[in-house]
Amino acid sequence: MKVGILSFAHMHAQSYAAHLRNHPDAELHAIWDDDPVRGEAMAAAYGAKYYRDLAAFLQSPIEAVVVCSENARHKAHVLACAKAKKHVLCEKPIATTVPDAEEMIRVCAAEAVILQVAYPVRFAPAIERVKELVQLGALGEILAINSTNHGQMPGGWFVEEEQSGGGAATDHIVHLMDLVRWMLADEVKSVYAELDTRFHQLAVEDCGMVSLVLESGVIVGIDPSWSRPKTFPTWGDVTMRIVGTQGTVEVDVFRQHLLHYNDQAGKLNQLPWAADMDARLIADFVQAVKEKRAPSISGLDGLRTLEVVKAAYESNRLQQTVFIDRALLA
Amino acid sequence: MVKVAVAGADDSAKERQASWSQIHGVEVAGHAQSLQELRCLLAEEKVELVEFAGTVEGTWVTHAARSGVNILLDEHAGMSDQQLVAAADLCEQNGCVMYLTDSLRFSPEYAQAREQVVSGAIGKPGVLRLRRGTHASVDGCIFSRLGMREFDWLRWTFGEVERVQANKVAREVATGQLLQYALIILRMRDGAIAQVELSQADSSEHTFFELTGDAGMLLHDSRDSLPIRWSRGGADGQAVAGQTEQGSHAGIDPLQKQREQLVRHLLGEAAAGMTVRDWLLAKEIAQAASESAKAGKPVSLAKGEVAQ
Repeated sequence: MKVGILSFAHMHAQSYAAHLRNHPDAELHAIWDDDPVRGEAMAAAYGAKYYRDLAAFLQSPIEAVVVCSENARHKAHVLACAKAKKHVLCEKPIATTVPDAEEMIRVCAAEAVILQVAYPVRFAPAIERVKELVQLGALGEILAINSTNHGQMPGGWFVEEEQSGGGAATDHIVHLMDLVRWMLADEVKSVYAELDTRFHQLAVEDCGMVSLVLESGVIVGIDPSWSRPKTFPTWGDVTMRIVGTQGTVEVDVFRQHLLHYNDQAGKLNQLPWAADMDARLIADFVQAVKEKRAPSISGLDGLRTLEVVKAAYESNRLQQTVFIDRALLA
Repeated sequence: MVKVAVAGADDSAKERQASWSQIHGVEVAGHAQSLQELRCLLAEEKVELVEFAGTVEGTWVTHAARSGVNILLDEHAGMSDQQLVAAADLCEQNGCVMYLTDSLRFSPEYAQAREQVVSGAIGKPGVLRLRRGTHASVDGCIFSRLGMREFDWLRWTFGEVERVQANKVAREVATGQLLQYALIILRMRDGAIAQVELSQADSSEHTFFELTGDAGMLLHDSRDSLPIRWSRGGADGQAVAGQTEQGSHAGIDPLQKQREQLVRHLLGEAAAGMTVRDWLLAKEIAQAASESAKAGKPVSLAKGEVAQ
């Protein structure tokens, strides 16, 4: 199966490219990027053909496209792919506005192409096991989840609101929100958030704390902050404490690593050795396209998580709890 | 030299007396086991501070306050909030102060963290996460019973709280106990954002904090601070893991540190420990959290009073 990558603006594109190249049933055939230097370099690195013209890229013999452009361009790029009958794996967040996400879902459905959202953490074996424990009832009735998706400040277009849609809240709430919805098969009722810019000189928020109540009454905390110091031994973390009437489970997704006390670099580094979640995400998407089955992570999953992000901004603006008004898709 | 007395019929009184006698600059005036003995002791000796052991009758505390003697009480000491406030007011009127024990201010990890924060180790504070987990045996309001120490320590370290939002869940479990869990977001007046997680769903008590700022981060988990890990094969070859011989505070007595600080304070060499006024301000945060959880909306704290 020939696959293309549409833009390397998002750093995850390189990981997806490497896993597409190594997949036994996939070939990274084409790369489009509006930055020709970056596009040519990536095409050379991964043995693909570089296209500067988007129409030509979409006319190439690719069945599917991984969209890794800036968040605000997801809509235009996904719609272009769908109209060219290409299946899509879209980097998160699905879009920067709820109406954009709704349109992307509608158009992909009308064009009968798969729209999958890239939430790789679902494919971490530790997360799969925890979901199994939760759904088997091993923790009893779930009462609460307290979670973090920390990071270092990524810079670049991630901190330009017109390109990214927002800062740390946009970047990180969605991963945890997706895991919570997936594990509990539940939706968010209300959102309270305190967001701010306290770590860096930025025009977007770089930190905050979010507190949610699900329709079932489960309470959820999310810390999405870009609060990891420069000396932190890795980019960030994904952690969850899941509290039930019969016990508490804590999962640290990136716990499996060596610690490298590196005198040469004057730094401490985490060297991960766990199963690669990006590889498993790519394999799942390739399989979905091959089998023409529904994606594991749908556009609706992307929309519902985006709605929570938008509610968090609204809550922070109003300094009040905000009740989610879920979009009804035709 | 600071003259100290111990009062109360509690079994720990003798031990407390011995603890005072080990502090340089302290003269132990005696141990009063009845109100009459306390009256005599305070009349005969120029006592500057009385430590009450365990629960205590309000009349004992009132007498000490009227005598102008500083007071050290175990948290609450069996007194109601109203009795505590009245006694603290009486102390103020008579030129003395009422101090409470059971504060994180003298736990070494929290004292160290506060010192680092104040000296700028994390720069401008950003996001602060604290947790206290325990098993389902704490009765009453989870915000007051489990959160007071964290609320006081946050105030002491990062300043006053502007706004409080809380969510709480509670379920009766098979043993008939009430299992409570709460998440509280505190917006500090200086802009920092704190989250306090209180859980009765853990198998044993543990604490955690992560304090981040624009120049660094301080991290502590009591479960990672046990210097001894002991696992032994069980009778059926099953490992019995995670048992330790001592807690993380072995060799450290936070209450003794508080006594030492009180002596330095009375000698004019150090700040006070936690007073009843501090305790009441932490209590306001707990009450605001409780109100927020009930009302489903944030509660603003203004000028030391709870106001929506």
